[in-house]
Amino acid sequence: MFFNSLAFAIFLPIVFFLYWFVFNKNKSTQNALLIVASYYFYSCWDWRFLFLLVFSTFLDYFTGIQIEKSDSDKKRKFWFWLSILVNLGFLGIFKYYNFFASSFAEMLTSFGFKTSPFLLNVILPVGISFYTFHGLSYVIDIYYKRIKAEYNFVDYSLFVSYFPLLVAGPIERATHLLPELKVKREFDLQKAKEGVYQIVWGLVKKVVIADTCAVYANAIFDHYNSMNSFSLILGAIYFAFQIYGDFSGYSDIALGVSKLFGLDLLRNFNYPYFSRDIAEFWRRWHISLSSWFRDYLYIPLGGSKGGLWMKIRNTFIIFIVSGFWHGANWTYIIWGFINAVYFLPLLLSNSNRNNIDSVVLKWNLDSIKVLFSILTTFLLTCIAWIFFRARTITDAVLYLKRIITDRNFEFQYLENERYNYELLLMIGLFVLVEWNNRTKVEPISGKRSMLKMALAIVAIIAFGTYSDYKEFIYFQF
Amino acid sequence: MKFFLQYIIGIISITFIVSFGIQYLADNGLRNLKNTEYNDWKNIVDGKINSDIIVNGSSRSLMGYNSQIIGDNLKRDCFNISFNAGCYKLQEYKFDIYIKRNKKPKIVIQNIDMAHFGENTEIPDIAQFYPFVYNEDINSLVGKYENKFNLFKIMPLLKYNQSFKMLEEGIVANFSNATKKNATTFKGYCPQDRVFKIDYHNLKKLPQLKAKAPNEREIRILHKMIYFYFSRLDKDSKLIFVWMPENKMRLTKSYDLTRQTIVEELNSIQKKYKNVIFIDMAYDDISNHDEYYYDTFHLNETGANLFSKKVSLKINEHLN
Repeated sequence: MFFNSLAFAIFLPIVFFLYWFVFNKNKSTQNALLIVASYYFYSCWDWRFLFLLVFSTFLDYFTGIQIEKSDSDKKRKFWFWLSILVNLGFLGIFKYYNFFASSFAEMLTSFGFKTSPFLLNVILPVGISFYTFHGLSYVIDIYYKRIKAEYNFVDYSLFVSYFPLLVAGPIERATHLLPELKVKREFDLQKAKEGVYQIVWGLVKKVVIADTCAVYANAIFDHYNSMNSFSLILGAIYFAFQIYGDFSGYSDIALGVSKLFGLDLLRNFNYPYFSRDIAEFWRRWHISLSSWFRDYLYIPLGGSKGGLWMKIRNTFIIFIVSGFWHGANWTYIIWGFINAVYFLPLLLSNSNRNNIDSVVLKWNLDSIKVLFSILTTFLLTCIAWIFFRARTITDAVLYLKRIITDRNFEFQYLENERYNYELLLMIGLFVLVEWNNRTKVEPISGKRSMLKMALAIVAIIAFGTYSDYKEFIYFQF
Repeated sequence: MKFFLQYIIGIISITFIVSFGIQYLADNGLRNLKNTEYNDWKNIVDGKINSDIIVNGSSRSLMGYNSQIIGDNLKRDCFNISFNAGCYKLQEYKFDIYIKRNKKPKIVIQNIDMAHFGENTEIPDIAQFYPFVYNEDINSLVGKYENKFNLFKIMPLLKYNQSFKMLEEGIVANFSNATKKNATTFKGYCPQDRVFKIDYHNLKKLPQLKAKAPNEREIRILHKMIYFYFSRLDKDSKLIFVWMPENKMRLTKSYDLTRQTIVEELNSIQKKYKNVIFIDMAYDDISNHDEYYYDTFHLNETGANLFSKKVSLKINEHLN
């Protein structure tokens, strides 16, 4: 069940109605309903993986309590590592086993040994990367005594399997979401309105921007050999907006839906394409994952305390791991590596925290510089996205090479029977709307919100892509 | 909660008002955009055509019969109601819609070829009906093939989903006279200013026969069609079947074997009914000239003009 499906449009009002009118006696009934709704939501993909979700939930619930109860460090460590290894084990089997097996076989073949690796014929359980990280953060926090273990199984289960964030995040923290689940939620009109704004804007991003860009980006990336430089550049831009609209759209809908139930989730995107450098980009893009890696990998590795070399090493580690988290393919690893390389000059010049504030433009030279740095950052991210989108590293390199060598900047008719430039006006308009509202969570709130909302819904109806139905990209991660 | 529900209802109401407003502008603009298929449909359902001569057929007919030339040569008003990619049933439906609101024609020119006898499983070029979702006659036609048309009635703007150019064209047409720029049809005729390109994919589909095809089904359909027209036209009206010239690349021995029984049947029908005429122009000299075609099946504008002159002269001979 996708957020942009008719099934969800029916499911959400039913759960909303039951939540506020039938199961609103106390927080336990509210949580119980959300658990049932979440399990139903998840089982719509593949009910068999529900067992995996329940097992993962139970494992972390149980080990969390055992860690807290343990009277010796040895026992604490045992339960801690049991949870970590089982969680990562499942992730490894379902997501990475085939990649490692085939990569190892390829390596042996290159040394002259013929092998036929044993590959698993399993599909990736949707959302496994997300709920595994929920559980991991919970267990790690208990182990480091940042939080107390949760003894109420229903509350804990809801923290892991809460349907708006179950399949594609944001990756929540126990420190943030669990306290919200421990109290009865009262209906808050303002919050519900904000939720509706975010849902509608998320849908605009997904069905109008991302899915339309996907049609063009696919036509260009899938036939890059016959594309001219202009089309290839546009292809990279279209993909940049596709993945942004797709993922941030999902996050917006998740946050919005959650607000309808009186719960606030962590913000996941903050207008990343208006970043002035790569460090700022990563503070604005998939914030919940970046901060997760910062808190649970970068800092435990020593963070920036061990001097410049340590800082560089740790930065490379988290970006490469982050790339690998996205998928079992070398293209993602290279994408992570490229982002780490982009980070390098900022680390060396100690300027990775220069751009913390919001962008303000005036009619002066500084603003031109700021604008230039925004465009440069966007260009760099687009280059990295080419590796993210391409099927293989060779494809990505050839794509980039062709941009430089073809030097033909004419309009081109694409395989999908549309001209390559057709989307530029829509993207320009979208950027303009987001730019003018970059200090807000979404552009609909504020003055004349009803009219803006109506126009956004009109855009969803008139310009949304429905015939060529598209899943959210991050479901595969 | 009460306020929230009111708020949601408010948003839905505003959205509907805005959407219906935009849709109305687009529908109205498209319907009134002169020399387009939308305007042709509007004139048909408004009963504003009332021509003495009606041309009916599929895409070949739509692009091959210049109503102006035929009308001028026969000294009567002529209108082409042919249906792009539409087989016999769709042509009959369209004719029914036509005579419901317009006066009965004196002459019907029915183009005929093998494609005529096909079955439409879906409605071709559905966008031409978008401005007419609330028209009962058109709805009954489209509804036979397309369920989503009912959804279009209640969900404003959904029909224009992903059709930005059409939406824009319709809205702009309310505020400007864009007749010439957007002209695609002239009295229903849709000229094709294109050069010849061989459609190998269609040529491959041609049957390879060694003996005469019995065409029993086709002959049944042919008789049904004659009954269809007889039941709708006045007794003194003329029903003229015309077999348009196809490009020489199609005119093989097998082509002849494929159509032979139908041609024989049409000739016998012609003998039987004095108000039925059959003009076989399949082997007209036009077939030998690639410059008159845009593919092996369809005439381009130059070919259509020449063919229209020739066919109207032949019709004139029969009428006098």
